[in-house]
Amino acid sequence: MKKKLETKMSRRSFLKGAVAGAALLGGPGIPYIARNAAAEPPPIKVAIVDALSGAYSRNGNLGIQGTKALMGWYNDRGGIKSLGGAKFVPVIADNKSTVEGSANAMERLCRDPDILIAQPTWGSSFAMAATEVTERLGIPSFTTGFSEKLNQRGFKYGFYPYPGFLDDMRLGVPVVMDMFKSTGREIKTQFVTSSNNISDLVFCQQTQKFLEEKGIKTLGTEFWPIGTLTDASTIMQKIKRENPDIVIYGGSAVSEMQLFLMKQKELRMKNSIFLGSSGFLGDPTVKFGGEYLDSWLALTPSFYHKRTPPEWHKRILDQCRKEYSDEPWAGQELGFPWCLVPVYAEALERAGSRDRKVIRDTIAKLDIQGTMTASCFVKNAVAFEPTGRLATKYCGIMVIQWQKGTCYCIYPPDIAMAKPRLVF
Amino acid sequence: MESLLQIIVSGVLVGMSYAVLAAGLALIFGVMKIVNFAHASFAVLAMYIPAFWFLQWWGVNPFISSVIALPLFFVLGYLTQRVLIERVMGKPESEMSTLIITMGLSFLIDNLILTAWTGAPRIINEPYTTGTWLVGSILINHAQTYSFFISIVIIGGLFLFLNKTMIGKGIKAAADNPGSCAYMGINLRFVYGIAFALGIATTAAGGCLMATYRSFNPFYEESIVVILFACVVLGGMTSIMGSLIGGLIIGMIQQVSALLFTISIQNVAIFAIFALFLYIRPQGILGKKERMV
Repeated sequence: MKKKLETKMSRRSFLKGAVAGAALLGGPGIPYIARNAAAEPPPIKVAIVDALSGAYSRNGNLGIQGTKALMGWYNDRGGIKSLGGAKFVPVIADNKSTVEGSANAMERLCRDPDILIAQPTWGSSFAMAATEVTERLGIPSFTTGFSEKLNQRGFKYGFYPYPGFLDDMRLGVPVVMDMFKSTGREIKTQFVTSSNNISDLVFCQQTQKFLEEKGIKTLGTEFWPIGTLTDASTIMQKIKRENPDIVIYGGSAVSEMQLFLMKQKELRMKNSIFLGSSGFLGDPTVKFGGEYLDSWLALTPSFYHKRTPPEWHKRILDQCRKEYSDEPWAGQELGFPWCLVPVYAEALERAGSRDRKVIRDTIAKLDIQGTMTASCFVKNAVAFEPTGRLATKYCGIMVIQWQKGTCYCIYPPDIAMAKPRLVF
Repeated sequence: MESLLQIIVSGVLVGMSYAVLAAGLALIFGVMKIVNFAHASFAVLAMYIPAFWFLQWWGVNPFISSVIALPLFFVLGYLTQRVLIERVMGKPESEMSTLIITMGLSFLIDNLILTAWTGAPRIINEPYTTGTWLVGSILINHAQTYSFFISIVIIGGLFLFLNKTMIGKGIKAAADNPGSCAYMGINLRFVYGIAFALGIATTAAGGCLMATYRSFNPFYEESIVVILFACVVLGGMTSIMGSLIGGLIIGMIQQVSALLFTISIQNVAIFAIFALFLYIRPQGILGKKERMV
């Protein structure tokens, strides 16, 4: 009997039966699957190169988390409608906190012909290298680099949705001067200290020049090569000795600011006022500075503020908590992407095309005011100059300050989360 | 004058922190004749575990952690030597092989720290971190002062171990003449393992101490590794006491040069004086023509 059954159930008859059974059971589903497969548009691949390891890995990793969160937000709302609901897919590579690493990583990612947008995010020096690649390949790129050198190269495919450092200085320094005047404390002397990172250096030197033209005397300058500062003792001792009314500070990394703060506390320099070139001084990792932080002010175009959509802020923090670290608020680095992703999402929506040239032309023509896309920009508007830099008419700057353990935007008043508290 | 005194005090305190890290490097080079590029990475690892995380998890004082680090990193160093270094020692091109292995190990440690605890710069935020004593007009940092005295104990202990114990004498003998040691029945594999382990344990303790007054991140070793090599070479390559003197000199140059010149040429000043010193005395301060610990 057993032998008979084996004969009947040959391999061929078994396969026939299996195919028939599968067709019977799964048949109705096949057209559905096929239809969906046909309807699913190819993803929108975004090449992201950032510092995931090396000295600037915190900056890079925070930027990646912010980008992922915002891409997820658009994807959850059906993707880019004009491209059939295409979803964003980040394609990420590490630049190892080096300039050559940025160019190599971007070159590697952009071999994929489906890359529509590139995002060589943080650090002007890194962005300079990576955007050489995207420009050559004709890929629209978005970077947070503040250095004007980026937009002075005549590139067509590079977009820089933040004001350059010269604009930061032009817009922010007079505001801070006015703040001081309102407290009855006049600035007569300055001390300038910065890393030699291109954008910080430009900011500090231009601020020094600007203040000197207003009759403010420079008592000293100290510049250190980027990434080499291991101890701020000697700089802080010089500052203590000179006792300037204001210190123009251009550090490039949170760790450098930590060194300064430690020495400020150690040398009991409560009356020294620092004006930082960058919003990373609002990074929660400097919280240990305690009351000494209250004498630090910074200019930044990126920080959470009154108009920041709460769902974006929450989503970014949740994303960061899930994959990287538990951040109490979206500071400069974590918040950078909310002036990048919404802009290229809007451009893709309007372009309705996967042609990089069409996308680039659409971005160049954007002029958005008052919508959610522009909500995180200081002026609530975004457009680009022919150079790719944020349009001068829409350039704005925030002043941020620590108050009782939290860092707030204190200027401009329409988006400020707290009032300035300049009591020193 | 006031500033100069402040700078001298800072120089001595900073120099001692380099010295304790460099002592381990000198020991390893003196005995095994290998350039350990992963040396500073072990110090950074110790800054995280035990110094930073033991404090966060269980409230263990980092100065106590510097003592805890000694046995922990002794074992880690011993295993590293036996598993990685020993396999290539004695073979042709072993100097190059160990160089590459330790360099790879350095990358591995840095990136493991990055993966485990992110690249966020860390700081041990305790009252002694930025607390100071006002002595006359000079401010002296609490953490650096405690570290200074603990460093002296560590270096003194290492010196006594090498000179007063049988294993220590074996290590010194192996450094002087490994061939003769082998004929005398000294187990060179064991001695090398112990020497490497001691070097790593010492630097780990130094790392814990440094973490009490410096901000650090997974790649902090890049900032100090060259200075450590400079301390060791200046001191005489294989001499523990030499590395102590080298560390103090480097610390002093670093601080005083910044008082006289701009900070941007601080390291230039170090290496200019370093080059000049080696021109006058190529074997270093306490170095001899024969390699000795």
